[in-house]
Amino acid sequence: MWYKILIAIALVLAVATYFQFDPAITTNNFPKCPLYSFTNLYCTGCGSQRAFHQILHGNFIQATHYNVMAVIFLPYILLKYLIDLGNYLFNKNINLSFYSNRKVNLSILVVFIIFTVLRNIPIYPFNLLAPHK
Amino acid sequence: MNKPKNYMVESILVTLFCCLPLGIVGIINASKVDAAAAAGNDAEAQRLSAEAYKWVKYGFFAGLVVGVLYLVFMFVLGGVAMMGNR
Repeated sequence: MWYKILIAIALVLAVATYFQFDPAITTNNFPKCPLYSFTNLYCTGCGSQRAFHQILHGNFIQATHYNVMAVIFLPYILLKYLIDLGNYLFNKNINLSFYSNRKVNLSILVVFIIFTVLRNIPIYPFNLLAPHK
Repeated sequence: MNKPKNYMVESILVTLFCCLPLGIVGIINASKVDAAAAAGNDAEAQRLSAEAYKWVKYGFFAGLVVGVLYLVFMFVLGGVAMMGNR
């Protein structure tokens, strides 16, 4: 139980930090992705810290400029955890079928891979997928 | 026999927010769990579920370690800079 409380505190602190400070400002010194530092490649999650800051401020358009997938999958992730929380609180066992639908899950995998490849092509319109202002 | 947990949402979270491609391996395994369960291959589904969980764990802790090391590094640098300014 105690570690769950620790995780909850850490989560609140993390969200507060991402709300207060903009990772796009380099002097704020947010950790850079090690993969990007070494290879200059944008992986799937590149820009998600900056996108998260914008999402917390309600700037969803700017958030899509940093990482479209973070914005698209936010409702998907939140809904799952809301359902889990509801199930836990009210002792129910509700499951949405698309969370365990193999076609949906395979599509997500394919979309992620295509997205990661495309955002590394430095030509318009693919460079719109790379993190930008 | 209950369907094993597929760890799809957790894999996506790690992929998007830990900035490390380990989550992709999690997604690959997670997307196979329900296929194996649907085919009636319970042992395989269990194995894939455990595998997905493993990669989610690796990705999460890799992200955490990088983050913590970075913070420590920044504090050390900040301390050195402050002492230099005395």
